[in-house]
Amino acid sequence: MKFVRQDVVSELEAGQVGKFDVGFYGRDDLDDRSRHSAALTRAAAQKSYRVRYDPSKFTLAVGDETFRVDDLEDLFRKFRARSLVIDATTMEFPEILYVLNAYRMQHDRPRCGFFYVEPEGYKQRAPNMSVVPGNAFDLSEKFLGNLQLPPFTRLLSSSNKAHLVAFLGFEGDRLMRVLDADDGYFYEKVSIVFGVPPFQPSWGLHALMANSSLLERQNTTVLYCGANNPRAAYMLLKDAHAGMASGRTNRLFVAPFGTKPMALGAALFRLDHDILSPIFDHPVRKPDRTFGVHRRHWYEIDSL
Amino acid sequence: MTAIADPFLNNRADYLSPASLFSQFIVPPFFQRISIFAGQGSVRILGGRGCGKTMFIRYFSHGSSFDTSRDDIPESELKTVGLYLRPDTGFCGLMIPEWLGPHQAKLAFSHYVALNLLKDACQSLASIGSARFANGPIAVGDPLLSPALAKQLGLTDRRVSALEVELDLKLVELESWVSNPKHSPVPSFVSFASVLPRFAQDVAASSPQLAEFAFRAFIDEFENLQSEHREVVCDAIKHPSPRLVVHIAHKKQAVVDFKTSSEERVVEGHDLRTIDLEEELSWEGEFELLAAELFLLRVTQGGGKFDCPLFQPGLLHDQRHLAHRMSKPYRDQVLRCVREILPSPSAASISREVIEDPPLRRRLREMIQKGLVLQGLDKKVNPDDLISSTHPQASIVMGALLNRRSQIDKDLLSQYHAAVANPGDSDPFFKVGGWIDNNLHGCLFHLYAGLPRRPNINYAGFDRFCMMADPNLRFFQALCHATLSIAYKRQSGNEVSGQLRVDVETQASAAKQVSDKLFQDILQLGSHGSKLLEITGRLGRIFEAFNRRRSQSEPEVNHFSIDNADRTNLSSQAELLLREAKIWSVLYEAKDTKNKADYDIAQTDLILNPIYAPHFSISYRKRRKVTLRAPHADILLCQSTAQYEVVLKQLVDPADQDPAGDDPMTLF
Amino acid sequence: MTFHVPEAHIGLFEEVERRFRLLLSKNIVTGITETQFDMWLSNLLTEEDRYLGARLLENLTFRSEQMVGSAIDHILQCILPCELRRLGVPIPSVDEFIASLERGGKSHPVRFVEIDDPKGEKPGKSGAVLMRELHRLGGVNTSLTCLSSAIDKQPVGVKCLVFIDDMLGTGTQMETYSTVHQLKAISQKHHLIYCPLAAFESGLAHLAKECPWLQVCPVEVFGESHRFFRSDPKQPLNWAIDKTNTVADVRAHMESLCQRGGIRSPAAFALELLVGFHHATPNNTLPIMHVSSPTWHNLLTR
Repeated sequence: MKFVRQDVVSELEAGQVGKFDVGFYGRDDLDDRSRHSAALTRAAAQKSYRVRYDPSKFTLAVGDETFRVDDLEDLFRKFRARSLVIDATTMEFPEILYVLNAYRMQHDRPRCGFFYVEPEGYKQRAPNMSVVPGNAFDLSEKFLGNLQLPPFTRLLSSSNKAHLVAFLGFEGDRLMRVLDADDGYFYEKVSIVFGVPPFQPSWGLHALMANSSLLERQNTTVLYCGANNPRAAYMLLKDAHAGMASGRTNRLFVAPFGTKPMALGAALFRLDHDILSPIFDHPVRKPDRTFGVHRRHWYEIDSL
Repeated sequence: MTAIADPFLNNRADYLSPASLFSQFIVPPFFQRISIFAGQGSVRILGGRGCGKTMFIRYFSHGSSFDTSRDDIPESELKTVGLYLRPDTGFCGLMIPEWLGPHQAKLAFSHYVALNLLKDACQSLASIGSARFANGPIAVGDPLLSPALAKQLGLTDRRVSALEVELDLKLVELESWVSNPKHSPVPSFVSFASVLPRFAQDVAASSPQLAEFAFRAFIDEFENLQSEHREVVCDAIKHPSPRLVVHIAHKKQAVVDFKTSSEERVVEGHDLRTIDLEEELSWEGEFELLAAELFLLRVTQGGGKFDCPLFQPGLLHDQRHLAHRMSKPYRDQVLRCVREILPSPSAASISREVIEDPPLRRRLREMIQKGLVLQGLDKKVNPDDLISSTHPQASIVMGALLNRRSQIDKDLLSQYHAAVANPGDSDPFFKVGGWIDNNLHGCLFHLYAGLPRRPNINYAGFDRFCMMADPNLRFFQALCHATLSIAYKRQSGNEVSGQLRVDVETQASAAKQVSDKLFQDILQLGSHGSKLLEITGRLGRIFEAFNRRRSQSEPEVNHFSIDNADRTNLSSQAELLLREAKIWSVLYEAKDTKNKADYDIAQTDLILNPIYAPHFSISYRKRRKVTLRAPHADILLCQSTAQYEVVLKQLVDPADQDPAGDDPMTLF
Repeated sequence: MTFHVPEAHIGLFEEVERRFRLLLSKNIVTGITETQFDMWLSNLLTEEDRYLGARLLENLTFRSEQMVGSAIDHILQCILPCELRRLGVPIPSVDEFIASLERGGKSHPVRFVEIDDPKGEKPGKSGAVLMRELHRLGGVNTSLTCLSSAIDKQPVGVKCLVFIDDMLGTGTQMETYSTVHQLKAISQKHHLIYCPLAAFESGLAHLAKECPWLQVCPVEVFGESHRFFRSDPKQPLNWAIDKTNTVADVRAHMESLCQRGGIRSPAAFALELLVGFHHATPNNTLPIMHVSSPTWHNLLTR
């Protein structure tokens, strides 16, 4: 696949990206930018469908249909398209990955466009509140049992350990939770990726210093990737892959906990390279956590 | 160049190769006290984070038991060849009925365990081949598996070496199928409970020296397995085979049932013996010795020098030398050495510090003054007259005594003057169990809490570090790491000039720093981390508020309890969070020992992990508690902040408290 | 009350010092040695000095070598293909554009111009460094770079001249540069794109007004909310950063520190920013960070 475009577009330009056969979007009711982005996506598509992944059943609901994630050929057979437009704002990483993976099995791989809309701002959180990564079911006994996304799963063992590339959002705690549970056993090497240059100026020293727990860890490297540059995320993973020496650390895992464009880059890399194994913690998004609409991004690849 | 503090960070068992693990493991004293694996049955090893559970298990795995640096290995070790499996819980999370279908899920898991343990079993033969046994080396060769086992595993070449190669292929096959069951061939499953013993049998048959060859398999992180998978393991526990014993390890409280696939249950005591690592490590004074030895070992690794001839790192790793390490001269010398490097100020010297340091003295004076006002004595008595530089302890507790609303002895003042003039065994201040014994520590914590800027030396010293960290060696090492980092920055042990010694203020700063960080880290614990953080914060604030009471009428309140009879009134959410708090060692549970017999008035004590004491400037010693009724406990555990604030005011009389500063905002 | 350390932030300095050292040791902040850091810290004598120092460090936006590399990637992979297409330059794909930059060659439609100091006063200015980083980190072929003196000698086939700068502050420097090199006239022959890695809002407005023929595409934009002495919107007399000290008191303390150290304090209309780059410090960053004197050690290098 080739990265054709990585543009910032005005509202007018967003309406002129062309017509795509099929559009997909996720939870479009959460906040201003979700509504806006989903609307842009629907406007650019002949037909569009809502997508939802259920991690407890391993199913992808698309419109009125439901598919198990190991039956995704049925998806493209049902919704044939030579071109796709995807709302990366409202779709979660697994949803994006599964949909793209489905269409990759189509003989004529479609070309794809992606919308991503930045919010104007994030609501200030009350001091004691934090967004808790939820799961579809209570995991107090089966903690983190479903981080894996079949069929992209790899098995880890004492002789098959992983280099984890973790794209980081503002707070490191999503990643810390994963690393803490692992306790240094399977993820032998960790690369933390900060989104610099960021959407809006951030990642001042204050924010970096807040991640000192992560930074103090052993076997941890720090890398940077533009927050709205999927191609950079893709290339970063390519370098990580190239840098994997033979030996015990022979698996490459990715935790796409940063921005959606970074997650998109990771998804696209996975489509081209099955060496990569994504993990995901299925956070429960709260409504109105963001407000307003800031910039619109339009990404395009020539074919899956 | 390694800084002297650096080795204290390398404290995860998982960073160590099997070979180096042996040389890092310190045999804990309890090895002498309890028989760990005697008898045939399965054992479960309980322990929270940081108490060395994985290190402990891996010490008994073949890589360590047959480590080449060990000599004179008894041949009886061949009867208990240790295999280790830490399941990939992410992958195992896919071997569930929803993904693989109900029947396949359990078979797949047993197959997964079998393949991994067989791999380790093949490697164990290599370890044995290079081990230095007491009666000379044992030639293992490349044993042939029996035709039956070979058939079960689908092998044409029956040699163990061929099996090793085949196992990797089988794992790939399993991985492909689990990832994508509809598009990969189903493996032919084997059950670990049947192949492992057969393997052992075949090895035993291959050579007379190996006649008693048998396995003990350790399955770590048992609590993170799916319930169906736990059943598979429990089946093997309930029905052991002569050549395979299955042991498990998990966090306390984290597993409640031990169901098997049938109606039977694994019965604690009968089928499964428990080793509670935390309890064993905390046993009377043993933690101090272990911590001290660990400290000296790490300092040695960092190039530091100290004077302790009896301490030799080489003696730490083998049970043989335990008797020597438990001897009084050794213990005394080691502890003395560490106490010189990390000195603890005595209560008496801290008291002197209070008198001599102007801000602290001012604080004491104010406390006394407020007490005099309360008692209506402020016109008659000058607070300075009650501050004695010769017997500061008495002055300090006077501060509390004077602030008590209850009728104080009208002779208090004269008793004070008498005690200061001539302290003895019978005056109410200095006698055993007198006012100083009961109140001094509480008052010291109270006085220091009012000066948050100042390093609180009530937390300084090796002994105090032990009290706060016990039984968590990881916490202990964190305290040492911070202490040495602050004191010596990036210097290596060789560069340190003069005697290795860290002053009390530095230690106090380190304790605060570590406590603050570990408090923030609560956020990462389990799936309820943020709730746990909130609960800990709330509890801490309650105890902080108690600590700020001038009266110190109940000094050192730092744990709470709920009447057992009242427990049933707790909501299920509250119970869940209590359990989570215990699983992650944020709270410890201790049975009330005084009222054991009478269940109704008996209580369960819930103690805030003392490592968080410096963060809240409260005492770490388990002294007094506050009893909470179920509704209050419920509010504390899961209701809103507003409701909590109400409870807080009800528990601690605001009038009695020194005004708090603003709630310390988290800096990061 | 004068400038003081608020009760709730008593331990801030120790925390920040420790964490800053961590960032240094992990090469997240680059171009500063630990010794330099220690020397800067030794400037801070009182508790209040140290508290102010901690706030300065916390609010510093530092772009290390690697981060600058990522910013260059952003320019090459996101900004330029998009802008060039808008100007009618055909770009089949980002991948091909990047490949073409690596190949270079006379027929390439883009040239990157090394911005020099228009007054010719400062040698080795960031312009040269950025060109080098463009090549080293961004992979741009050196045949596509040119000096400021060669701006008017570019062939007609060059559709676009790209100027890469580290900081756009008030905009006056770029305005002067434009005048010296007659960019307005040049804009008739080639499109002009100016990409500062960091830009202040007022600078963007200034250039939009004074140099409308220059297409300005900043990587990161800073505004009022990044000024060090900004006030709390709810209580305008108070300092936004800790909501306790007054803005006047903070300025006064800064002033006293500068006087003591014999360094200049922020000018009256200064931007009061705290931005630093691995290779240089913009001159609109607070002087206390980068100026030195016989009695004052600098942290950042100008």
